Amino acid sequence: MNFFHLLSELEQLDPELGERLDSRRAVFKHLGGMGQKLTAAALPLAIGAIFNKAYGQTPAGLQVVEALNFALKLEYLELSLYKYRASLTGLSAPITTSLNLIAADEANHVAFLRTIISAMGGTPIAEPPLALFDFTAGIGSMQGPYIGFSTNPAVFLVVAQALEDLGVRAYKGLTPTLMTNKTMLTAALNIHSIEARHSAQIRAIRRALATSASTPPSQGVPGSPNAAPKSWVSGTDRGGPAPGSAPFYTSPIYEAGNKVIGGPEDIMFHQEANTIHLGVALTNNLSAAVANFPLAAFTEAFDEGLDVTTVSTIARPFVLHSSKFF
Amino acid sequence: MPGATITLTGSGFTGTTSLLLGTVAATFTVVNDTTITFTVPASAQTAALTLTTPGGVITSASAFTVLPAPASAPTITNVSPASALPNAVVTVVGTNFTGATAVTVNGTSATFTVTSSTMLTFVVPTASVAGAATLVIATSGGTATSTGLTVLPTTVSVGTGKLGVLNYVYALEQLEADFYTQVRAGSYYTGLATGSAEKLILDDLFYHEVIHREFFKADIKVSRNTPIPDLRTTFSTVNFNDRASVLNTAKVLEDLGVAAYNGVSQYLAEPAYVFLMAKIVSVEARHAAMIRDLVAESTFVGNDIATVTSASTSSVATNNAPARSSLERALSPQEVVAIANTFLADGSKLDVSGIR
Repeated sequence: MNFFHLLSELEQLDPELGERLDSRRAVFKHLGGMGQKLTAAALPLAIGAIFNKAYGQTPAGLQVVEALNFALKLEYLELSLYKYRASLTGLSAPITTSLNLIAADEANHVAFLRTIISAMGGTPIAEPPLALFDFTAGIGSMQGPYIGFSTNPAVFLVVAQALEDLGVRAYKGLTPTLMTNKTMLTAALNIHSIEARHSAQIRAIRRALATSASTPPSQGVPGSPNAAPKSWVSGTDRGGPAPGSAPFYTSPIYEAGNKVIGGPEDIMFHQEANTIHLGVALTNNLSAAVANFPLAAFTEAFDEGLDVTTVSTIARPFVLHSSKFF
Repeated sequence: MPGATITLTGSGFTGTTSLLLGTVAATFTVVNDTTITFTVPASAQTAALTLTTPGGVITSASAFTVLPAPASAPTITNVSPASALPNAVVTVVGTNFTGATAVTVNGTSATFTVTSSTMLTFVVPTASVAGAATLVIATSGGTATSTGLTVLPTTVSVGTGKLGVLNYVYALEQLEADFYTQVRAGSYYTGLATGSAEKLILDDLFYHEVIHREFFKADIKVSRNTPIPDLRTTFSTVNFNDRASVLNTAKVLEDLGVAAYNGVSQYLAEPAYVFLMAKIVSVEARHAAMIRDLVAESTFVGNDIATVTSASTSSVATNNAPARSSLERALSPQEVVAIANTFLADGSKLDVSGIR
């Protein structure tokens, strides 16, 4: 794609483009700055971001940047957790490999989100120091329920599953906001499905450890949804890896969120056990083809989203209280 | 030619008792003593004429030439099947097909074989346009025309707008559901131990994909629209008795499903439907991760489906992500059906040109 040619053509169609873009000089300077961080392959994304800046300086455009910054916060949270993987003891080689892969993805997501937030004209939230986080879920006391997370793989994996499951739900909740910019919507979805793969793998590792404490093959037989979960959310997973109520336990991750006041119509943040989607009830009565299916399958076939407020409330115990990070 | 009336002139014809053309008797009339007429018999061939008269037997000096009778025009009484895809073989029943010179469908020549005077077969031309067709069979005796043939469309159009997107994902869910249905009939699956982790995963994936399929069918009907018909799949390259063959195909289909959902949400205008797609795509991603884990340990992500360490080569501009961004593929509907159509039979292949 010849970007400069494209800009020239657009200017003919829209003489005010230059003004919308502040000035061509500023745009090219802007592009040039990004060029140091972006490969040529990323240019279409950057262009999408610039045009959003040019034409999308509306409340919706601002919301897109805010949504991306919220996603960035969650990526910082996850990335920071995986930094502790090196101090875990007794990991098998495949588990180490999996955790390394996930950690690399989270670092990549952080870098990518920072780049596109800048390209949108926003300011990416700075990466907090590791000490801001408290993965014991102790609001900074480092004495929360998940004490021992940095050395005990079982505890670490409880926190990892909780944060991955939360992340998958959070990205879903952002999609109605992000859809005002198709480029950013697709980019966020492309991160979202990777997070779902992480969740599935962390769950598989926990399942394997719970059922056989085995090294490969990693597939264990699912048992209690708390200790040996399936790789898909079944019902509400009976409260997840550490069942119990907020603020220290994982049940809220699988429960309903809030309807967003002033948010998009028709978006309800149901609990994970929800089986009614856009008015279609998933039951054995849906059709003959599903007449004999186990009821759990109807809840597993669809994930659910969560709103920013609920996600923040759930994440809050994992950061220093005074930081107001969430 | 047979049937023709011939006039002979000579003398002494009165009282003639027989007229033979070769050895075949002809019907004749003595007009007067010098004139006789006869009708060339149907079975007559070129031969000398022999008259038996009261005055004796007379044989013509030269042979009387019998010309071949013209062929009768063909007729068509039945076309079977009445609806056929391009390249399908169709059988026609009728009369006078012997020596047929051409069979055309909407004016395009078709390859044909005459089985007998009352039956021929032809191949529907590749480029035939879908819809009611005009079939013409030509012989030296004339032509027969029939409108009893309908050319079926080779592709199923998903439509446009929201319905197009919903039919598109409905089609992909049909493909996945049908795949796992067939997996469960193969000896790889039936040989797995009851309650084993691998069997439970395949059971769940079957349940989930069938539920997705039935959901979209119901959702499209709720909107008072008509879902696309049931698609016919073709997994001829898959050995359902072989673990590697099944799991590698499952990997292709699950990864494809994720990339399809990722790539199609941008065409939806309603937040509720964008949200809906997100609720399903993460389940597809969970499936993909576990199938990939069954294929090879710790391959739940990789450069083949995400930009972990390499840049994306997808033709979807919005996914031209840089290396080390860990963005999963978003494939355009065109890119997806290029793969999906290899698993769909003629007549069930998808046309997604309406999604824009």
